[in-house]
Amino acid sequence: MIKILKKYEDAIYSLAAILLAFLVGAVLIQLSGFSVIKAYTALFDGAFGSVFNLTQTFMNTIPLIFTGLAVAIGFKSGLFNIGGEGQMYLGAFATAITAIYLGFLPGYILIPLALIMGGFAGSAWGFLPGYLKAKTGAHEVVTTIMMNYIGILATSYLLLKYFKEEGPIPQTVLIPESARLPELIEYSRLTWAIFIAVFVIIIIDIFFKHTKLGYEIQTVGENRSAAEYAGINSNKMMVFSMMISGFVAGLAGSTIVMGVLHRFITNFSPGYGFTGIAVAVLGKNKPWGVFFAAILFGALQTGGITMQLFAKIPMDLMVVIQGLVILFVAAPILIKKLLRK
Amino acid sequence: MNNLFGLYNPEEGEIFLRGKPCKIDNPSKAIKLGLGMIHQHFMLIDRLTTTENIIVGEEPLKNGLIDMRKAREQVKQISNKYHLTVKTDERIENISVGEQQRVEILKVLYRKAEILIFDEPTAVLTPQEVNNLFTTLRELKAGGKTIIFITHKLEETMKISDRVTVLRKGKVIGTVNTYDTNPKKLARMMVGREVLLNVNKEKGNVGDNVLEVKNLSLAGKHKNLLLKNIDITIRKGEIVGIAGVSGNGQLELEECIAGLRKVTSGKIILDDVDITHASTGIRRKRGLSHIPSDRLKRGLVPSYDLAKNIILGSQNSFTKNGFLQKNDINEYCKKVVEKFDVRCQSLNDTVDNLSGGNQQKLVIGRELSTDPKFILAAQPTRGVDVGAIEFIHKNILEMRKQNKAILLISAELEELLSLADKILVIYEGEIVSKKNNYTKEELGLLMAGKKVSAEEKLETGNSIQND
Amino acid sequence: MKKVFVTMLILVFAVCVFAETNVAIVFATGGLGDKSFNDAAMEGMKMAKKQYAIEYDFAEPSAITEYETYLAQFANSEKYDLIISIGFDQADALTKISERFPKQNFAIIDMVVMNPNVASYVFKEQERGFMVGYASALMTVKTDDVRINEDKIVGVIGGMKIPLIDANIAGFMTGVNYADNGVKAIHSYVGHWADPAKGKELTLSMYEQGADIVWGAAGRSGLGVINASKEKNFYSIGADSDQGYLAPENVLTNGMKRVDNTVCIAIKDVIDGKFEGKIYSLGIKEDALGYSVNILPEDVISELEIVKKKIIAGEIEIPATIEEVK
Repeated sequence: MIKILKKYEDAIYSLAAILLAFLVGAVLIQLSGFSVIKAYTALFDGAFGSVFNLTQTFMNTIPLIFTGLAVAIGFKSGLFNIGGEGQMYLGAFATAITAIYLGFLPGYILIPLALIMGGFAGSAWGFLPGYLKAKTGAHEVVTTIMMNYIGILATSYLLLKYFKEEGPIPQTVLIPESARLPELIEYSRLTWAIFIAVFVIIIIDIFFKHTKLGYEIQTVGENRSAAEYAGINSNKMMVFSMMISGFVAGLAGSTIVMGVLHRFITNFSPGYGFTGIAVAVLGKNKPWGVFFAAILFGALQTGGITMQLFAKIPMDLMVVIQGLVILFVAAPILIKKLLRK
Repeated sequence: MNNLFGLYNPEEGEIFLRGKPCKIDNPSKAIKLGLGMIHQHFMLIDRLTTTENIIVGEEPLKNGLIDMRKAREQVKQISNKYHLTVKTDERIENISVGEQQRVEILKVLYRKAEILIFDEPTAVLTPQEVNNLFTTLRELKAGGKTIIFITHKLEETMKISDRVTVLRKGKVIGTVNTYDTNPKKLARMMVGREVLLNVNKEKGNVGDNVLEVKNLSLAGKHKNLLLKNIDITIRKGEIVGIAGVSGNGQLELEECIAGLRKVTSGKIILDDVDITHASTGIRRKRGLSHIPSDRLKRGLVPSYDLAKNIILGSQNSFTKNGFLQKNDINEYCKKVVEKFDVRCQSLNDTVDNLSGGNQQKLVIGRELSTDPKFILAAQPTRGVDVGAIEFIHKNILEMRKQNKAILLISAELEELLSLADKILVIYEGEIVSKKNNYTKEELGLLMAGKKVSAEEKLETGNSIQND
Repeated sequence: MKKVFVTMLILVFAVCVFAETNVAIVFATGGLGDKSFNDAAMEGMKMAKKQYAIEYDFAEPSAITEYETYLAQFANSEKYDLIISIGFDQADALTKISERFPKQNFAIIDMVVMNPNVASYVFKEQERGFMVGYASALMTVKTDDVRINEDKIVGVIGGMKIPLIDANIAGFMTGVNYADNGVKAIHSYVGHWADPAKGKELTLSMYEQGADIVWGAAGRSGLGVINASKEKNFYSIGADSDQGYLAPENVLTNGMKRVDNTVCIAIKDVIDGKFEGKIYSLGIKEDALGYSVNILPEDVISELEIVKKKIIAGEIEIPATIEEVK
């Protein structure tokens, strides 16, 4: 029994943190003069209450799976990749341009190609901070933040300069039908991207559990001295992990372009790259942990809409609950103490 | 002991203090009850002065501010009483290890501790410093203090204690009066069977040169030389020992040979190939094995399970098409764990759950199982119990029998004297002496930087092995 | 057509029975407090509530991807007589959602969505251009004002060379010519909607050429125009909303786009049962475009009121492209 508990220790603490966050959230809702029951009913209903709501939850979950995974992969080698946002913009941009300019290709070639180009673009954006860290020791937190600005503004510049659609909106033309990911349910915008996301989770899980490269990257993250002692080139591993991380973050952008927006638009992201950090923290940097954490955040986002629309509770309270979840996860000592008493 | 000091909470049982049962669930309570602990790894703040370290948490106040003059006075008073001399205004980072330990002792005395718990206090000290410590302990005892002295060194137990309680695998094996016992008996209690305190050193078949270190130097941050013109040659079937007080360049030498540090000048040749600038990975491929002096920092990934730790460094030979071969790994790991007697519940246990001795056996098992040509063994028995020491020594000698070349860097004189074919003494980064036979006293003086000429040679002392 | 007719019938019926109209509005991603479109639209909702006793709900999406979700949630509830989209970047989402809910009435402002259940409200941009152009021409000859120089030159800076901006510029030039007092209008483009630095640079270069009144029809880049006028103490003209607070001494007037009135118009059409899925071009006549008083002198205002009446009466023809300006 204790052994089983130990195995799921992380999951249990995360669940406790979520519960606690909702409890504190309830107090805040009550204090703000709203009905807790009404609020949480609307929240749950909005996230899971109907097939359509469920599809919206999963639609919101997909980019968070990718950006959350990206942060988790960085963590594996001991690096804190805050650059998911910029890597995602690069990915989205590369995917859109590929899909538009190679639109004559059939879908079964174009879709994988556009995805891979998006991944590579994100990967290139991850490579740079990794390389700088390895060569000069420049701290990745600083460089990835900088790379976010450069990425977001550079794509915006290129768009306006070379790829903008006629008209007032800073966006590309629509990508061809053949490059769009098919919807699972009509009008839901929930597309095959969910399968791509799950596929990537499986690959990353296997990668870290069963491959040599995955093992070496993790060893660098767990104990860099020991890795060097064991003949592992830790610099190389850090660059690799940043590239893989960037690739996955790039896919977040690719799937948004191919599944939701069908074009690249400047400032399309409400900060998926940053929410990814929270998702990774809640998911304890484990691929499947990230999956469930992303669903939670996707559900809060989607349910929050209903809560705002029909229970008239401001969206900000949703953001507060999200913040509380992270606070309680990041403060496991506090939780452990509370549980002991 | 951490239980006693309130760092861990016991599952069951009671602690009695002065005849009364008491519950100690945190260190501050332990302190209140008059307990004081001197940890093996000092709990000091490097950037603060000795006085500040001593009073931290219990500062004498004046108008809400720390009364430094009073603090200094109090510290001086205690230090005079027990002859624990420390420089009151020097920063911790600038004082010797021995003095740091005195600060730790003052810290607990300042908190009015009546019962002092010492956890492996001699591990970091030179023989001379050990003597000073023992003098202090005797004075504390005379001053009415109770001392619990945790060690795995039989010699120290015999020298300093009045009564000995032997623990094995978390159980009390017995308590004896020191004058009723002897090292042999104690060793038997500790290990549970007869222990050979004397290793039988068979002559190995000394052959060709395997490792040559030629004129190796290493410059530090401020251009000072950490290693000076070091020459070492190790042949097949030979154990060469490096003796020295810790901090005289052993760690640097270890890291240079292992490839963890770039040498400033000189050459390292392994099996006729120049590996001076080769990476750790290439050195391993060429047949170098390395038992690191700091097993937790270098040798192990504590959060990994046993299997993942055992393939550390040889992960390439368990990889097929980029994938780790789980079955091969498990089979191999089972063998290593069995052969090197690593006690664990399963290969999936994380290594941080193992005892220090088992961790070390794991490292040694891993490093000796790869069929190396040369073994760099740094402090291979640091912090492990006598049973494990015996086992490790046996295995190192076994390696010599198999014609491996071995460099043994150790702070344990007995270990060097009983295992090494040749001993080099390192002092301030220089090899100051190279001989086949030394007495303990000779070594001790050489390590302390005193040149010993043939005439000055001291009489052979009784080492405890010969009891 | 029949479909529209039936929808209208139902709507009229609904209005009669419940005597209450429900309207939902989805704001642009900037959210409330943007001192621009969203805030103006909110004003319109409040006005409509007062005038027509409607009930309304609103949504503030934080991302472009959320437009569809909000629109769908509103439409799906089948509670609203009209759902209004604010901002041109909702066009993609509204196109899809209006197809999916063909019985729901939608309106979009400042953009066109060609579906039978979407009323698109766009503006006769040239009309406000005409008003501020005319005002500029009257002002630049008042040389006793310290902010006015001897040269009879006024300028207009567009955000980008697109038809919408060119209509403004064409209106401006026509307005200047209409004053018929030898004033010359010059123009240029920033090439970006959010580059105040470039906007300022262009404005200063116009000032060097002798222009003492410059209109910035350039989104956020227009802030640079106002900044330049404040720095060198000449006149600037704002766009869309009243930007006088940015430089009270220098912002002469504003080419107003009355989103609030437009929202009211859209709601009134639904209440009157006149909803139609077509493009509405609004202008001075509907009070959807106009100018603000700010620091305009009395005589200029009265002149402006006269031409305003003429525009409403259709007596002045204002071309929508620069090429057509004589």
